[in-house]
Amino acid sequence: MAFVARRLAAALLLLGVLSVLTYALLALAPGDPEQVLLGPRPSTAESRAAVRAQYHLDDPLPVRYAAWLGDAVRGDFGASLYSREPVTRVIADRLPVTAGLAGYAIVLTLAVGLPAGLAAAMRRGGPLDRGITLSALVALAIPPFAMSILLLYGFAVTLGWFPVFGAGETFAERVTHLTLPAIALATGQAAVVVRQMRAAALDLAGQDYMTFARARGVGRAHYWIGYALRNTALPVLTVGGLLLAANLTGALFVERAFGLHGVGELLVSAVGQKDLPVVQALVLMGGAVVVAVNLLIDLAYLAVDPRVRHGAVAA
Amino acid sequence: MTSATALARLATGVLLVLAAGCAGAPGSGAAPDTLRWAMGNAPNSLDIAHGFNDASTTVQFAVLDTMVAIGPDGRVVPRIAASWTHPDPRTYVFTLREGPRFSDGTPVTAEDAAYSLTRHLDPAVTSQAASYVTQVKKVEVTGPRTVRVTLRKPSPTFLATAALAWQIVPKKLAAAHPKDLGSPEVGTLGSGPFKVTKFSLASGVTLERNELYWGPRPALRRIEVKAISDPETLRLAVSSGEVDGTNDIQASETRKWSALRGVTTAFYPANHIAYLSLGVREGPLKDVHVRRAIAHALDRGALATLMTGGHGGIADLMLPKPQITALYGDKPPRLPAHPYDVTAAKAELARSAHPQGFTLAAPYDSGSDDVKALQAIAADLAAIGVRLDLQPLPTEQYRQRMFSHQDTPLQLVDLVYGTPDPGEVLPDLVSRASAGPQGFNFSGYGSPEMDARLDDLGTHEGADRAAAVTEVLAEIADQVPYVPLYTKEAAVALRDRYTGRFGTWTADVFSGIRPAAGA
Amino acid sequence: MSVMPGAVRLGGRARRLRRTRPGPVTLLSGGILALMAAAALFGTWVAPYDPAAQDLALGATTPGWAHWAGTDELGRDVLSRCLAGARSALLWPLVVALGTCAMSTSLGLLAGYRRGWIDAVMMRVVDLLIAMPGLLMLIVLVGVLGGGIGWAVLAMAVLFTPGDIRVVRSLTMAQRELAYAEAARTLGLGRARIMFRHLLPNIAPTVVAGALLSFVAALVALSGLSFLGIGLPAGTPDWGLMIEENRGLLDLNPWAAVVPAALVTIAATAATLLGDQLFERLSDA
Repeated sequence: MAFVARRLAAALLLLGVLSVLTYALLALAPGDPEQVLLGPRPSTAESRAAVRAQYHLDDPLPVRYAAWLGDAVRGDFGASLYSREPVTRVIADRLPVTAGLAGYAIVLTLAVGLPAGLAAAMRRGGPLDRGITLSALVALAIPPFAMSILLLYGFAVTLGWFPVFGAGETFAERVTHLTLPAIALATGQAAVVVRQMRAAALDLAGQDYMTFARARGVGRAHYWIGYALRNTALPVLTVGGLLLAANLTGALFVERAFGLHGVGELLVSAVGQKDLPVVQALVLMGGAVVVAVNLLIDLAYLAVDPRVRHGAVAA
Repeated sequence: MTSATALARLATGVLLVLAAGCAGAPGSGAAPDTLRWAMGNAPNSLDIAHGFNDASTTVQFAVLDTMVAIGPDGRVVPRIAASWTHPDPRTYVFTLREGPRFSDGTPVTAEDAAYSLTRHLDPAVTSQAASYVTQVKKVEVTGPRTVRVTLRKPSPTFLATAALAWQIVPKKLAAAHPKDLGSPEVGTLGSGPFKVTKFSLASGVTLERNELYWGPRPALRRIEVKAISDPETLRLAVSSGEVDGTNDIQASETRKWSALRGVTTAFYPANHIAYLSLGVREGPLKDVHVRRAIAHALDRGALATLMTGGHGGIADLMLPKPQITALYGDKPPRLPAHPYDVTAAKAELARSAHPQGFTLAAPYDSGSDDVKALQAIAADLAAIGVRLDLQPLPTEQYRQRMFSHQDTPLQLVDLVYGTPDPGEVLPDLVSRASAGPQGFNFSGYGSPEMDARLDDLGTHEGADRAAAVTEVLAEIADQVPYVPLYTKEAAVALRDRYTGRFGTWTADVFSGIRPAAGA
Repeated sequence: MSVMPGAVRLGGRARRLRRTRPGPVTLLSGGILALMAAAALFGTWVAPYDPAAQDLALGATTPGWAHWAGTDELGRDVLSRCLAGARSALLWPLVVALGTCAMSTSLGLLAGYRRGWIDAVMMRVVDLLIAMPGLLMLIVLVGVLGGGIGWAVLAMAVLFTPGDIRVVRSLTMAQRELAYAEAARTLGLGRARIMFRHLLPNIAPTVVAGALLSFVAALVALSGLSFLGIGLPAGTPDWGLMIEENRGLLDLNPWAAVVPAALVTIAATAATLLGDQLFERLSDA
C-alpha cells in the first residue's frame, strides 16, 4: 500500500518537525531547568553545578536534542524534573482519567449531536430547526470553563446529585464522577456535530440519488435515516475523530475546574513548573494522536468509499 | 439571600432542567478514623531533598521523624534524639532515643541518623535543602547511639534547621537512591506516626497508622491525601463533605471558609511576613525619599483586611510575628514607621528626584493570591503618581525572574519561614551576600556595616541579641528597602466529624487530628 | 471601487448580496455587536464609575441602586468594568480575526492562483500546522514564552490561519477557471490585480464569514486563557478575566461573574449568527 506508506512517512516527518520545534522553543525560553530541580529554596553553587552536569545543561542544543531523540525512539522520554518519575509513567498515570472523560464526552456528543442535526435538517427552516440551530450556536459560544463552573454549582453543589471533584475508583464511581465534566466538554462539541450533521444532510438532500429515492416513494424516515445517515457517516466520523483527538489533550479547562488529574491538567502544571521532559512528551503525544486519528479516518474513507479508493490507487 | 442573588442562582438553575441521569450523593459514610485530606498540589516527593514545598513536607512530617522538633512554644524539643549537648559553640552531640524502628521493623541507628544529614551535602543528591545545612562541617557517629555534628562557625539557627531538614531515613535506602528517594517509584521509609501505603502524583497519597511508632498512638487509622488544584473546587469539596479537611487555605479567603456549615476552621499565626521589596540598586527607587513616599502612600490597614479577612493584621517590623514573639515576648520595640498619609507621601516624593512620579515594572506570579494585594497597592500608588506596570508570569517563570534579581524593581513577597529565629530571616534580607542571583535580598540593599552587624547577631544571646536585632530592624525601617505589609494567620479547616489541635510550629498536622466525640 | 473590466462579470453571489435585505436575525445580532462595539469605544465615558476605582472597605456587594451589577472583591463597580471591559474583550479577538483573515486570504489566493511549487510548499506547511494539537501548542507557547497577551494573539492567529488558507485556496482555484478571470488574464492585467481586484470580491463572503468564526473562537479561547491565569495583567477590565477573578464570589455577588460570562456568550453567539446568516444568504444559490 503505497498510499499508507506515504502517509506514515508524512506522519513521521510531522512528529520530527514538531519535536524539534518544541525542543528548541522550550530550551530557548527564559529560565533554567536547574531552578525546577532545586526547588523554591535558595540553592548552593555546588548543587547547581551538579545539576547542570547531571542533566547535560551545558551541552549545545543540537547535542542535547540528539541525546533526547536517541532515548525517545527507544521509548525513553526521560524523567520528570518535578517528580523524578519516568515521563512515560507520569503520563500513563493520567491517561485513564482523560481517556474515560474523552470517550464519555464523545458518546454524549454523538448521542445528542447526530439526532439533533438530522432532525434539524429534516425540518429545515421550521421552528425545530431554528431552535436546534440556535441552541447549538449558544452552546458553541459558552466558554468551556464557564460551563464547568455552572454545572459544578448547579448539579454538584446546589442539588448535590454529583460529586464535586475527582475521578472515582470503581467503574460506577468513575461514571458518576465523570458525568458533569463529560457534559461540560460535550456541550460545545455536540454543537459542532449538530452543525456538521445538518449541513452534510442538507448537502445530500440536493444530490440526484436522493431525489431519485424520494421520487421512488421511499418513506420519509427511511429516506433520511437509511440514506442520509449512511451517506453522511464519513464527514461526521471525521469530525468525531478529530474531536476525540482534541479531547485527549485539550480537556484542560474542564479537568482543572473539576479537580481531575488528567493529561490536560498535567500539561498546564508542567508548563507552569517548566517541567520540560513532560511538556515535550505531551506535545508529541498530542501530535501523534492527531496524526493517528487522521490516518485512521483516511483509511476508513478508503475502505468505505469506492470513489476514494479508486482515486487513491490511480494517484 | 437578596433577590438579586436569587435571580443569579435561578440563572444557574436554568440548566438544571436539562438534567437526565442522576447519581447518589457522594458518600460521607467513611469510617471516622479514615481522614480524607485535600491540598492544592500533590506532593512531588516524600524526601525533603527533592520535595521542599508545602504539599510535600506536610506528608513528609507525618511519615518521617526529624532529629529534633520544635515544641508548641517555639523551643527545640527532643524527637529521635532523646537529648543533646552543646559542648562548645561549634559542636552538638546528639544521643538517640532507644526503640524507634522504621515501619519495616529495622531499628533506627546512629549510622542512619548521621547519613540522613550528610546526604544533603552530597552534590550527587542535589538536595533542595542543601543551603540550610551549609554551616555543617562534619557529622560523625561517635557511639552506638551518639552522633556529633561540627559546624563551620557558631550558628544559633542550627537546631531549628535540624528540626526541619534533618529527616531520618534508612541509610541503605537513601544511599541506593540518591536522586529519586521519595519519588512515587522508590517511595520512602520512616519511623514516624504514619506509613505510606500508596503514592501517585495523579491519585494522591494514602497513609496508614504505623503500628511500630515509638510515640503516642495516632488517633487516625488511615489518611487519603488528594490534590485539588483549583481553590474554589477545593472549598466546594470540603463544603460538600467529599473531603474532610485541608490546610491549603488562602488567607484572603478565610471569610468564605468561616461561613461553611459543618466545617470548623482553626486559625493560628503563620510564620510568615508579606512585604513590598523595593530594588534600591537602580532607577527611581535608589532615592530614599521615593521609598518613604511609597511606604506612606500604602493604606496597609485596608490591605491587611483585604488579604487576611480579619485573621491577621498590619506588619510593623520586618520579621514574622512568631519570631517577634519568640524574641521580644509581648513587648516588641516601637520603631519609626511610615504610616498611611497621602500628604506626607506627596511631600516625600516632592523632595525626591522624581516629583512628577514614574512607572515601575511589577512582575508577579499569576497563579497566586498576591494578585489582589498588588491591585490594591497599584491603586494606592497611583494616587501619588507612581504607576505600576503589573506583569503576570507563570509560577515557575516568576520564581526565576525573582531569583535572577533582574527587572524586579517592585515585588510583593510573601515567604513562610521554618524556624522561630530571626537569624533565618535577616541575613537573607539585607546581607550583601544574598543580594545576587539565588539570594533572598531582593531589594539589593546592603553595606559593610550592615554585614558586620548581621555577623554580630550570631554571637549574642538573650537581651543582647534582642538589642542587636532591633538595630538591624531600625535601619530597615528608616531606609525602607522593604515595606512590611501584613501578617496573616494560617488555617486548618476540618469537618465537624473531626477535631484537631494545631499551632504555628505544628509540623505533622495529621497526628493532631482525631475523630470528634460521638462521631 | 471603480468599475473594472472584470467587475462587469462579478459572480452571481455578490450581486445577490446587494439585492436582499437583512433579516431580523441578522439585524438583531448585528445590533448587539454594534452596541458592544460602542461600549468598547465609549464605554469608559458612559460608565457610572471609574472601572479601576477601588473601595476596599465596601468589598463585594450584591446589586443595588448605587451599583446596578454590584461590586467585586476590591469594591469596584461591576457594571462599569463590564462596559470598559468590552474594549479588551473584543479588541484582541478582532486583532486575531483580522490577522488570520489577512494572512489566510493573501496566502490562500497566492497558492490557489499561482499553483505550482508555491502551492505545494504552502500546502505541506499547512498540513503540518493543521496536524498540530492547537490548544496544547497555545498553552505551551504562551505559558513558556511568558504569558503576554501579544504572544497569545499571535499564536492564535498562526494556529487559525492554515484552515482558512485551505478554504480560500480551493475557492480561488474554482474562480480562476471562470470566464471573467480568463478575460482579465487575456486583457493582460497583472497577477496581483487579478487576484485582489477580481478574484477577491467573489470569495469575500466566505472570507468574511471565516473571519467572524475566527473572532468567536478567539473570544472564547482568550477568556479560557484568563481562567488559567495566562494573558492579561490583573486588574485589566476584561470579560474573561472578570469571570476568573470573580468566580470565587458566587456566594457574595454572583453577578460579578455571571454578567461577564453572559456577555462573552452573547457576543460569541451574535458573531456566529451573523457569520452564518451572511454565509447562508450568499451560498444559497
